[in-house]
Amino acid sequence: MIDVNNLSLTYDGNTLIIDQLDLTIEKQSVTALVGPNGCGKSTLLRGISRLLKPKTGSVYLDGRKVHSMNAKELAREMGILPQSPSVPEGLTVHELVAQGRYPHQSWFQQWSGEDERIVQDALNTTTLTEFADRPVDTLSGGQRQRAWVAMALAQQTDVLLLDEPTTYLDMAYQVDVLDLLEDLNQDGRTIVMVLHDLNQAARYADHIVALREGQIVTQGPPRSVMTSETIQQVFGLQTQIIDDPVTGTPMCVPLGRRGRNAKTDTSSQNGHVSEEVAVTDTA
Amino acid sequence: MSSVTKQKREDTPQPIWRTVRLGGFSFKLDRRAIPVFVVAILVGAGVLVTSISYGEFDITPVEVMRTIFGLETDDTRHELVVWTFRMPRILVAFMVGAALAVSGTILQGITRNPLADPGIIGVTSGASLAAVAIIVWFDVSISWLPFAAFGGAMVMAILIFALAWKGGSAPVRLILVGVGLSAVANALISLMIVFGEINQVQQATIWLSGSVYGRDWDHVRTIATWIVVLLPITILMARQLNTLGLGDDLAKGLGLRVEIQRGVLLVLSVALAAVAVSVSGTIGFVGLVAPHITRRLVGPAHEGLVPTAALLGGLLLMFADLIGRWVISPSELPVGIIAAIIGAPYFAYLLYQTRNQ
Repeated sequence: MIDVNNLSLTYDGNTLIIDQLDLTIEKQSVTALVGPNGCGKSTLLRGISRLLKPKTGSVYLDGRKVHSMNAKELAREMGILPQSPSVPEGLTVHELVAQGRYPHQSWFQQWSGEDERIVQDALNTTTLTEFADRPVDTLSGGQRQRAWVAMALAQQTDVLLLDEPTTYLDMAYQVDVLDLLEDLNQDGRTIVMVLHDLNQAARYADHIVALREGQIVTQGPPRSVMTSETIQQVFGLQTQIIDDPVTGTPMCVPLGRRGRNAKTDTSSQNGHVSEEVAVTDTA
Repeated sequence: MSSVTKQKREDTPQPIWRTVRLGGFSFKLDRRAIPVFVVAILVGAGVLVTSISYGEFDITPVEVMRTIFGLETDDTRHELVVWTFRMPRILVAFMVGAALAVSGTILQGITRNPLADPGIIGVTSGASLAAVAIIVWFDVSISWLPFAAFGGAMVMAILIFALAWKGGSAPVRLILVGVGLSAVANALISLMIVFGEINQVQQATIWLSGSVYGRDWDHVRTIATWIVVLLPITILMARQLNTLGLGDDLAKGLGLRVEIQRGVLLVLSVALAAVAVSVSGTIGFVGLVAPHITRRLVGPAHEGLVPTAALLGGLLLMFADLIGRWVISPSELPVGIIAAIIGAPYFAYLLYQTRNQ
């Protein structure tokens, strides 16, 4: 369980990006952090993973203060994948994934049979075994993202933090990566990710945390967070909420100018759409 | 039968490295590094023998070999020429090249910038400044030069780290501050040369051009001691170098104490560059070129990269020394100038490539 307690984060010492935030992340859950650009969701993730030192407050992992834990000890329990990380030219997939073993190694025990076995497992899980000797920079975007996830897997942490794991990926790869994360969660891992796409968040997360200007606007299961009122409040966007025809989870469809025009066109016909829109307008 | 084994091989691909195990100690080594390493040793031995046999007093390679292995030769002067005159300077050239190459490999690793090298980041300028100051201003024995150079390099490194510090040492700031300080140091060197006494200035200029002329076994011992200590430490820190290559955030996420490790590695790099400069004067481009060529051959994993770069850097400078003695014989060109003639076009090529990326 991760407990975020009165956490304030800042980059320059003055401007608070995250302002006295409290948050509890349950074990073995999938939590999605959502919100508009600059709302502080990535910063919050950095704060939780201790890439950023808190100005006030603290983060607890199973009761222990994250920012005073031994670096390697924490790295054995919490993995982090920053947004679109870079990779040295020519580094092979196997070499990259092997880096995940770093917190488990020492000066003298630099590479054990156990390390090798875990790396092979990670490659298997991410279906990258056949690409093991390929340089990462020659892979497609989706495969590359899988390689990063494989590295995090080799780290063998119970908690995995990911900053926009689907950004810059084609749609097929986005689904691919999220399905993979879902599998990892079923194996018992706690997953916290920043997601841009609300519908993906609703589909894959148990718990959605909606942020605006460094504070939590609302949080809860997708059904309670994904309402047109909340989305209006968080993103300042008019949307219509429908059920995802595949999973039954809530799905939002932005109205935009076209939607608003459509409203005036269809209102006379008393269609389903206009009813929903009317609700949005009064909110 | 064969298809079965093939199938099996595809299921469990061989890792790209070999694991070296010695009791409780385990270490991984890139498979690609092993053949390159062996070939480089053979070529190195060839260049060594050629280089010893070549000179005003020609000795056939066979005679060189006989002398090296302590066998009887048909001329008693061989012993003197091989062991006293030529061997030490060639070994110094080799080790200076190796030290600079490892220094450059470390710097390129911790800054994640392929264009970093001890010359560009200002470490060698710091060493040169201190040495030139000693030559021009103080009338002290030349044996103080190595200490001065070492001190200058260290002061420079501390300045770079301190000025680049802003809640952390971002690689780009390290390089920019280094380039800036390097320019200042070079300006000060020019100033001293312009206003110095002509005799001292000449001495300083020779030192600045980087040479292994007249180096003896004392020099060999000095640099060898440092390399024997610093190179194994660097190889043991290959994992840290690899992890830093993934970026600060990921490295921290993997449990690496980024600032401490980067600091330690910077000190290693500076010490290696400083000891090289202190015995040979300023020699540029080896620290830039050698890691690059090596990376192309053995990939970016530092377990194989560091020792192979050391070998190739040494080879490069040994070769440059041979060229320098040959090209205008019986006079000789300082090895630093040859290194620059080889290295500068390569640097330009690298810049061109980086621009196109």
